[in-house]
Amino acid sequence: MSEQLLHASGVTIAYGGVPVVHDVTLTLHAGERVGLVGETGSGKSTLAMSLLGMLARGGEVVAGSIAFAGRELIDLRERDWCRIRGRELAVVFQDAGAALDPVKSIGWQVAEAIRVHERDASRAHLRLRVAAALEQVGIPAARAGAYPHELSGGQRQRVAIATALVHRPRLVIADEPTSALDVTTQAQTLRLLDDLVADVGAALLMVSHDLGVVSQFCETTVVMYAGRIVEAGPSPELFAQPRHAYTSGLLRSVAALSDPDCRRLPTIGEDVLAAATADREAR
Amino acid sequence: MSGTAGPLLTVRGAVQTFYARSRVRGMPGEEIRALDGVDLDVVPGERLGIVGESGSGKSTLARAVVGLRALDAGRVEFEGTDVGALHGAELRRLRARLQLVLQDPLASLDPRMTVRRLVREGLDVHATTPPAERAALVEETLAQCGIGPALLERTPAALSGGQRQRVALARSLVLRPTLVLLDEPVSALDVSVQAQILNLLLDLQELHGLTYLFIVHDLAVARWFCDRIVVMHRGRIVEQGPSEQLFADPREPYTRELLAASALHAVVRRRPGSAQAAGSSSATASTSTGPPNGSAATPNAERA
Repeated sequence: MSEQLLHASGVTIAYGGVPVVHDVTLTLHAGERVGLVGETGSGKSTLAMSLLGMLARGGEVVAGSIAFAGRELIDLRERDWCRIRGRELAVVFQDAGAALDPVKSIGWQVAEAIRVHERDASRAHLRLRVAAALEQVGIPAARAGAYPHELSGGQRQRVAIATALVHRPRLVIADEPTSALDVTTQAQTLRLLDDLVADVGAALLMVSHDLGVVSQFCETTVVMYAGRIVEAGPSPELFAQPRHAYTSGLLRSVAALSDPDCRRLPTIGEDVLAAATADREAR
Repeated sequence: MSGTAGPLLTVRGAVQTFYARSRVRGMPGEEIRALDGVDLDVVPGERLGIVGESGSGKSTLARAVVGLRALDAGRVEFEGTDVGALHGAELRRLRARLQLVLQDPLASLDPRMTVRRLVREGLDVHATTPPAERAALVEETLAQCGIGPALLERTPAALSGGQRQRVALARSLVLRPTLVLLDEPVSALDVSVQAQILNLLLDLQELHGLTYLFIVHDLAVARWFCDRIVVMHRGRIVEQGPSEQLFADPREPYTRELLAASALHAVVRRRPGSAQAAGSSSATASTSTGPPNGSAATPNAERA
């Protein structure tokens, strides 16, 4: 694999002094797609947001280092973050309806994303760039004047993707990018994201609770449980032979759904959860 | 009252129209047919799934069934009674037997009430059980739903997502309904918790002889849980049939499209070419019946 793009090591994140992510080490190479999976509360979104310097109020990286393209991100000043965010590191959130400003046209919002890093862009230049960005995600340039509420959920998420990619970032962090969409729209949106990320040569960190989506889109899978990475590796191997009891439990739950003879879904037993906790404490 | 032979619930020619706000003042807005002539029979004891995308009319249908919103045309009969013709006390009596469980219990449960009060509320409203027996019934029903005495004085905020959904179920079941309408009851839950709740729903059905009308967008869940599935699209039922048959041999292009798209959630062990990595989009709807790139998308049921 190519050069190392992001290397987080020994990262511990606390909210109000209570650690929620413990001693996590994560590496992404240029152009790599990594799926970060885990249940609600496993710390996957917290970890992803720490990579963007966007932890919610009260959240703080209390230990460890995050190196991105050879630069240390921990303790970066907000001013310096602003130079990186959106240009080298971009994010796509779950709910584009909330991420987009309801009172600005989508064209204005794409243009804003460009202007933040290219202050002296001319209006004509912006217009061309916005048109290209929208067309790229399958939205006719003529719709640049439309407001978010005039678009479908899938279209809104495509605008968010277009906005994230305007500066050809080196890493795109997508936090549950399609969980709010209908199944048929999800497939289209994920393929578009996949294609565009490949086009700009960016790496992708996809945070998801959907094991299927991750197994299909990411060559590497990282499983988090209770604030720790319990398993990580190439997706095919990981899904074929999960080593951690928690991962295999999750896979069994998903797989049993497609077994018509199975009249009882396997659940992740107390023993597995206890094992995961014991394992955590042993480290 | 009801006969056991006939359907428990019958919907005939249900039509519900909404109007979008007009762009021109004074002009009628665009007409949206949320239900466009829906016929449906629910047989006692079955688990009937309604699948479809958002906007397909499945939740509008649910609202009409429980009498929350009157239909523009058509009728809903529950145990032989026209739901639309009932008012006041009669409608209330019917609702005890026809319960609705919603997707998000954090939104549907009063945040200031304890678990005990939440489950008891329905009994006090309907007053069909003597007051002296209510407390015991509340605890018994909660126990059946897997909520022990230790949680009785908690509020919804102090429960996990799975526990909240168990409380929501207990709240419905304490009234001993015959039909329970489940509107995406597991969509907001993690995979492992989802499995627990689905298992619980099966146990409760057996215990109380329930009939389920299950609104769901996750086809894997629908297939596993439901005996029969109805596919809705733009306010109409486009296809229906026994679950296995519908999945094995979908007739309608829209059903095939839905099935193809749901392959997105199947765990694959080998990475296919990124161009076909995802489930199908509408462009391939008419060509693929099973999961796209079939061999690769085999869920690892037999391995696990």
